Amino acid sequence: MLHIENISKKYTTENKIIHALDNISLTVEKGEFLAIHGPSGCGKTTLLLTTGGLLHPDEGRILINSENIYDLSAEKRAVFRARNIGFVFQQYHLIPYLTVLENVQVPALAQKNNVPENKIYELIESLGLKERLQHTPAELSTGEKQRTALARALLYNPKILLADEITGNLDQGNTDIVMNCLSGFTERGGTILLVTHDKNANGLAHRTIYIEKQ
Amino acid sequence: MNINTLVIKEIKRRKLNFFLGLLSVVFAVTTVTGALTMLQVHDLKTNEIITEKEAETRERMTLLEDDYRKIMKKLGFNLLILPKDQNISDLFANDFASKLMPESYVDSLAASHSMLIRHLLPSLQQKIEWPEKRRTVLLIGIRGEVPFLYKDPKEPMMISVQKGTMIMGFELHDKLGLEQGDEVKLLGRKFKVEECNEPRGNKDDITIWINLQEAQELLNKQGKINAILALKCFCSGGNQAQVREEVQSVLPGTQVIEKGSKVLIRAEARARAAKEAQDAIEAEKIHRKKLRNELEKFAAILVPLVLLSSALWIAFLFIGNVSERKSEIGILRAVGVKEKSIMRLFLLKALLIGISGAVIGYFLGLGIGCAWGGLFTFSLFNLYFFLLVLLCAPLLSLLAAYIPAVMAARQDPAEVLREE
Ligand SMILES: Nc1ncnc2c1ncn2[C@@H]1O[C@H](COP(=O)(O)OP(=O)(O)O)[C@@H](O)[C@H]1O
Ligand SMILES: [Mg+2]
Repeated sequence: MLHIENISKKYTTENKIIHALDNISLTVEKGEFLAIHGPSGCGKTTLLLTTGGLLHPDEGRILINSENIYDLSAEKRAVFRARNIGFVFQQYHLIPYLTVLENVQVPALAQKNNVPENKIYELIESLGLKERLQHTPAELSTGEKQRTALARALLYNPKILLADEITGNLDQGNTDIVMNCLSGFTERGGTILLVTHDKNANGLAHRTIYIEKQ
Repeated sequence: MNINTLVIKEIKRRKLNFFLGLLSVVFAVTTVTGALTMLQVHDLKTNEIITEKEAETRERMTLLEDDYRKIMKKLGFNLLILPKDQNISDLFANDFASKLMPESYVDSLAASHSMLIRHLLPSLQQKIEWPEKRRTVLLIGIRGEVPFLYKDPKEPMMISVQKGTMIMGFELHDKLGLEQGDEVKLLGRKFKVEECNEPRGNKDDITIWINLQEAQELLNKQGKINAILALKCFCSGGNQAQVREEVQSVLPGTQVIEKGSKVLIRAEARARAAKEAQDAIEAEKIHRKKLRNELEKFAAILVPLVLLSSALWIAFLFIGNVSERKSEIGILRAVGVKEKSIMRLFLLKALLIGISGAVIGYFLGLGIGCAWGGLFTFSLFNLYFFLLVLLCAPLLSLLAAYIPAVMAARQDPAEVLREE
């Protein structure tokens, strides 16, 4: 369902050109849980952003369900993202003035219909955030922040979840909750690309790939 | 949740940012409204002052008019009845009438049924060289008042001069060293000085009054006179024409002119007072206009300056707000929010700042303007201007926030989301 074909991306700084991605190809099946390993700076985040339609590659195509997402206009790609992609970032990117409940509901801003309330509460409860509904991000622990960000990504049940080092800052307890949630997601047919340094993740992942630094 | 509720939540939970933007619009609108209200107050006050002054003047004029009427009634006015062929310019130039008319005219007038004319004083007058004293004198022969036949006799207006006597003006008896009772010769005839007048400061001071008949004999103008003075004629307001008509119907060979009287002087005084009042009002108007021009000039400089600085202030606030919300914009884009909606996020906030700033600023400005003028009146509320402010302030705020909003929408989401 996801075809990454010959993707290249380079960044140009004042004095050098960095080849973050150099001719990468990858196919991921529906319901697959893919773990991505690699040293810092090898281009893992760049790969996820490109896959999610947020970063135009210099070369190559991203096909999701046979749709070349960079053939779409920026506006259509936004709609496509809203329907198909869920993002979780290492830095959570929670909106500071919104409560946990509101942060989880942020994807509704890009959707036509609302998720029924009981489904929202179910999701929040499954991530152990029931007691934190009315708290703002500043009042949360890192684990709670990351779980909130995960709930937000899963609210509209995306086809592909792109997760970037989401367990990097978490203790074992939080990591377990998050990993359980991810496997539940794949069991329901979701596809996951998880960037991680955690070797334990390999147990849950269906497949693990390594990216080497150029 | 939609973009609008997000805007409201951001405003509610980050009050300071909204408040600072609001302050800027309030400041601008208050300044503009305040300046305008001050100008309006100024105009109202000007009107008030001018109206008051005009009313005052009108009142004074009415009083004066009243006086004028009363005096007119009491005094009547004086007419000079002259031969028809008398040139009026000559009369004023020479101080006496040179043309003649029969003395019988005065009797005809006295025999008439005139209700308007009173006190008839016939005279024969001529400027002559007093041969015995080598002086120019005005010789006037008078007969005293001619009583009307059909009216009660009034007390005589002017005592007639007895034959063989004369009344002498101040300048003459003073310079010639004459006193009452002295004997003098005039054109070969002996006269006793009956009376020496006090100085009057006019032609009377070089005048000698003698009996009319004697004057006629001396000047060889028997049965002739130059003028009839009709004193204290009744006449209210403007019906001098009626008097004239009446005289001329009795004496077709005459003309009638009005002698300078107290009434005339009063009327002149009144006109002068009116003009002075008018001048004072004009001066006040000019003064007020100058003040207004100064206010206007001040406002003309202040208003654009304030608008500009307010717009800049808002623009910088929004630039700050946008950069503060980079992460928020990034995640919104990641979940599929469109660029247009990101712009709306900021423009809607700017709109709300503009509208609330307009309302608060308008009434604050109105209050300050009123306080400045010490004039609190509902008439200063200008609906049209209020609506204009309600339109322009949000427009200003939108315009100022537009570039920051575009910056927000154009922001590359990958950049902020990539951060570790
Ligand atoms: N905006 C950028 N400008 C220049 N270099 C960048 C930029 N973003 C990332 N890079 C570089 O590209 C390489 C890949 O980055 P990234 O995809 O974040 O790696 P990873 O997530 O694997 O650590 C790194 O060397 C990083 O320094
Ligand atoms: Mg990374």
